[in-house]
Amino acid sequence: MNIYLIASLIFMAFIAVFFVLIYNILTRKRNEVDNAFGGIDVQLKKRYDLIPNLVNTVKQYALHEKELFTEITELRTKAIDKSLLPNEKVEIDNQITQSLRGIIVVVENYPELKAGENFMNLQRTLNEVESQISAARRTYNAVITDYNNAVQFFPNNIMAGMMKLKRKGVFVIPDTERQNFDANSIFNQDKI
Amino acid sequence: MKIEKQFFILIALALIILAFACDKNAKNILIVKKVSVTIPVEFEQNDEITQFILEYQSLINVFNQVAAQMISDAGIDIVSGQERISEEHLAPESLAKKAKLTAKLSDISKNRDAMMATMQHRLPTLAEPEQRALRGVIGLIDAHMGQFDGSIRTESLKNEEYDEKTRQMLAEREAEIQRLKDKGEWDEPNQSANSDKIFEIVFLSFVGVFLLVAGLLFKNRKNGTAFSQAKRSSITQSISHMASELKGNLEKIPMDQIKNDPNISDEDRKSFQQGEEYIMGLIGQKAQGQAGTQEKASPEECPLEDANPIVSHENLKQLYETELKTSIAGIDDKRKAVVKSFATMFVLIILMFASFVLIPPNFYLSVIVGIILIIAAIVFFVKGVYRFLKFRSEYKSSVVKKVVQFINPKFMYDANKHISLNNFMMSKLGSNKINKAVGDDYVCGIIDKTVFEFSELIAQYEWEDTDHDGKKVMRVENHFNGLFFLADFNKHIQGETFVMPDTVERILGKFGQSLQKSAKGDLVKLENPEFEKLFAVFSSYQNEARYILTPAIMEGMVNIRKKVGANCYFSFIGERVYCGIEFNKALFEASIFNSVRFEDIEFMYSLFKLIEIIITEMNLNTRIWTKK
Repeated sequence: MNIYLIASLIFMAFIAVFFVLIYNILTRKRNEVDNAFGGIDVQLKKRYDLIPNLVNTVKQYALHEKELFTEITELRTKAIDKSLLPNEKVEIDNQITQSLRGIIVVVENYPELKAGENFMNLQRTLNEVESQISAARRTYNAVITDYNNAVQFFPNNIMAGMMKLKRKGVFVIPDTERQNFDANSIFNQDKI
Repeated sequence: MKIEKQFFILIALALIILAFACDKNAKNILIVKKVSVTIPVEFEQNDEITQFILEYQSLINVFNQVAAQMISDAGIDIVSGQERISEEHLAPESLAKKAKLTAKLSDISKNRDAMMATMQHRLPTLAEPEQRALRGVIGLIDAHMGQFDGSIRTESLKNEEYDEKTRQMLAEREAEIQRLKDKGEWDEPNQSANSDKIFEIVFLSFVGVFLLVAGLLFKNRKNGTAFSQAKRSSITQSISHMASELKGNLEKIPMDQIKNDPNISDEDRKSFQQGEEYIMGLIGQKAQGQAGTQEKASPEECPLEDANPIVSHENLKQLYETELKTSIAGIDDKRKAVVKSFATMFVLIILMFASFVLIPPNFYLSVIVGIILIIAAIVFFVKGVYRFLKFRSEYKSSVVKKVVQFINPKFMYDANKHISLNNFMMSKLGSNKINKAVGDDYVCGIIDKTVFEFSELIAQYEWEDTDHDGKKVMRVENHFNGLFFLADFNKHIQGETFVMPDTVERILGKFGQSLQKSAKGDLVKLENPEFEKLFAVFSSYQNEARYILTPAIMEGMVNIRKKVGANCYFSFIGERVYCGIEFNKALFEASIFNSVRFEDIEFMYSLFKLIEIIITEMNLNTRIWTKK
């Protein structure tokens, strides 16, 4: 009788340790995901900070593109709102990317602006931030993949169900963003 | 051509020795047979008689020597009392010698007479068997009186006009020698003679070797660039360091201090100044290039645009046909000379072993021939090495350099320099133990905006060890052997990122990923499956690793790895990207057995082309980020 009791106690202890381990793994993965998302946030914040600067620089030359400026300024105000859900954030961010692209294209029509040192520096900073954002997103995706695997694999999924952890979607990066933003292609357009 | 002279002097010396040893027909050499009798047992306790026998024996030996001298110097055979050359035919010196020797001889005979007289008195006091034994010994000693090596005498006679009587006398002596030989009492006179000669041989060999070594040292002092280059390398290293630290750090290097240092020779100072000028030129170019791109990006400034593989292949062929072929033909003679020297050396070594088999009866002769052949082989070996070094430097300057400058005429090439140990250590790609770097074929320059250095490099760990005898020995362990490349990186980086060849994942697949751990940082999982199969990435910051390794760069690295077909290591630290490609064999070296073919040039070209490939594939010239 005693032996059975001891055996079942050992078994239960084993199970408990096992669950604790899984719990820890899952928690770590979840925190990693949050951390990675925070990483993206930091980079996005840098980009938002650039926007007013960019708008002001371009505004002086491109007076007729008012709609573009209004649109991007509005998007920026929306984006820095802290109550946004992650999905909404991603959505707005994609829109901002589109608008920024629009501004860069517009600049093409203003040669003095394009060659100005102010704009050149902005351009560089923007590229830097874009690259950093892209890197942060890729980190996020790698971490998310790890997290999803951890959540869905057996026997982790039992524990995950109890912790109410669900599979998360990866960032879908639009095709146009897959490569580094190539400034030269814009600069050299008139030569082609 | 100091070596040749020395060599011939040596050979001549050796030949003279050989002649002395071999030529038994030499006219003026008479080999005196030394008498050495054993004291009969009867007199072992009798000191008086023993003393007498020994004295008598040495007297006869002196007599023999004087008699030999008489024949060679004065032409008189005192044994037969025959004068072979009449006095009027003798030179004045010979006459003087003759008088001296005659006086000596009379002294000897006086001594002998006195000794014999004493003996006559002593003899009757001895017992009958002792008397017989003493008479026998004296007779034996007397029999050796005036005996020389017969063959010499016979030969010298043939060359000179002697009268009938002398000839008859000599024939008698021959017969006597034969009789002695038959009885076994004749010992070969060669032995004593050669034991004197061997000293001479050893001495002359030493003189020869000394001359040879002296000649070589002299030669090295005169032409030996190798020594001074080794000395200069510390300065050239600092120049290479300067080139790599171009990014505005130039003022940190105490150039004025180096220039004014009295311990630095003029030559070094000059080479230092050249390096400095070159680097200043590079900086100028870079500044110009930047100014140019800021105003307008013109296509001429991109040297990589003509990197069309087909076109450059044709151009390379053209370069080979026109310029290189003549220089290759030129150095081919040098290569053949190298082969000749080494071939001669091998032939001499084979001859040496053959000589031991082919000249068996005479041990000393074999030794002499052996020594001569060994010395000759050493001379040819040294000559071969010297010629090889010359051939190598010629190859580097007339072929390798041209290929480098064909790729870009502005590249600086130095056949004897390499990327410094410091720069290698900064890459953190090797183990921390590494304390020595060797290498050659250094190329540095600037492509568009990227300053790079490139060289063949072997990173080594050298330590002092004691072998089983307790002696101290230096041991060397190779840690990296291949091509090493470093260049400015186009982005600002704070952490350390390493891209290492991934053997685990290639074999074990995804499961292998979990086994990858490194002291270099966390494993970074990237999304390019092809890249992940070939490489493992470790970094101190996950985000930064992805910032550096954009999809384009990852693809570029995969391309480089495929093109090279060897293990590639990358590290991104500080301002730079480092790249090591493991080859484990000597590159850019000419074979001495085959002349340089187009394929060799092509291979060399493809290796140097790696510089451009790395820079383009990794987009190092794209400076659209905050780092200019």
